[in-house]
Amino acid sequence: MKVENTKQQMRKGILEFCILSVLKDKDLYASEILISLKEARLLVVEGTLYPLLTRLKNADLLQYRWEESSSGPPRKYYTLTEKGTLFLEELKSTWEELQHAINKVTQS
Amino acid sequence: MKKTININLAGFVFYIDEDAYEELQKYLKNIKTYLGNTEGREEIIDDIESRIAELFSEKQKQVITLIEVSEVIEVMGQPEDYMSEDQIEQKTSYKSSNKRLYRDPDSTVLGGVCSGIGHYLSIDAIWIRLIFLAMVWSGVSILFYFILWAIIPKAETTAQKLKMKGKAATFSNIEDYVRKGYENVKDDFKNVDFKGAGEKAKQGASGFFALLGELFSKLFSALGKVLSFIANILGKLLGVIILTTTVALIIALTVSFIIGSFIDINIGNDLLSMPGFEFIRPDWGGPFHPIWYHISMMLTFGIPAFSLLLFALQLLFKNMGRLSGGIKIGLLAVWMISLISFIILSLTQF
Repeated sequence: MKVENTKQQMRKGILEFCILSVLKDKDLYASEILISLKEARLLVVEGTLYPLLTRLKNADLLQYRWEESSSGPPRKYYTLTEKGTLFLEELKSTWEELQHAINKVTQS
Repeated sequence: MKKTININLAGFVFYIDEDAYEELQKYLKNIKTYLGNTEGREEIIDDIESRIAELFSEKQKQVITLIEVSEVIEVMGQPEDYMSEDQIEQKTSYKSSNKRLYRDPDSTVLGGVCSGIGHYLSIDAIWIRLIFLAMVWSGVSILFYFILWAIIPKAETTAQKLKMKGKAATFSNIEDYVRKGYENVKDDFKNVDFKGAGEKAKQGASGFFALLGELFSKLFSALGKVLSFIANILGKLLGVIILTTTVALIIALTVSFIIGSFIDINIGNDLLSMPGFEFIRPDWGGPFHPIWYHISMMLTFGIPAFSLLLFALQLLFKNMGRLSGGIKIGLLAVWMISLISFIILSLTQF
């Protein structure tokens, strides 16, 4: 049992929640999602994101549109679907419950 | 001076050094292998390629060199990082073995042998049970059942239960297994680093023998993998052949034991004077064997057959239990006794 593994697992579990949250207010493409996740130190390497995005898209939680870019290849802008919004709401309430529970447990 | 290659990443053209190109290609290929059959694998690869293209164009270099490639790999992460937790779990359990034979403690009639075999062959346990039941008359299946009960381990942990139910040993999976083994071997040959070794040779002739040694050791390790791959397949094949032969042998022995002793025991009695059996008696010139003769014959041939059967099972299923030393010695002793009595009884009979 390595602490690194556990930490990574904790992070990975909430990554989907965070991706959805980041996309809640505005549409972003992968690199922009990366920037905000990296800022929050949720991601160590970028590679982890792509399989996740594809999985969320295949689960109909996200959809994307192509946009040309002046500096590089065309970008996939991701946006939440209706299902994704509901999903996010549910995750959020679960997260709040968890946060409450953990605070209670760790502070007692 | 270096040769550069033209590549197209997500619709963008880059000039890239040859060695950097090879590194990048290896990286992308590894990711592909790691992603395995993940849904949307091609799409993920496309996304990754387009992100790499973006990173390359941000660098605004004329030529992409190994430095840029390793920087990109640093940012993107190692192939393992592309997998989600559950995939890693699947992958590792798949890697260690496709599927293993266990007894299923969750659906047992006696010891869970039949349901375990059912999981292994991906058929309903009821069919295996029916086969065992159908064979009960000969006594073989009862013996066989208890042998299997003794040597097949019970699936106790969740991981074992998953492995028990894992991928079916269907033909397409066997093909998959063979193909994967072949690809690994092929890659090993490809990776025998002739070119790198050549470059080193240029750096100094003094390293010539070291280089030769390195080349040979790499070649031999690749060859070793080929051989172990072939040996593995041959081992399984041998296992199947031995298994079927010994099962047939044990069945034949049991049948001949039952019929032979039936005739010999009853031949002297009046049982055979029953209508319908007269034909045996008058011209039955053969020697009447005592029951010991049959028992010793059965054991003389049966014990080696049984050991061969165990050997075949161990060849086929890695996790098969082994007989303890005591049982082995006991079996050997019984075999010696029966061999001697078989020889003596045969000699005195004829």
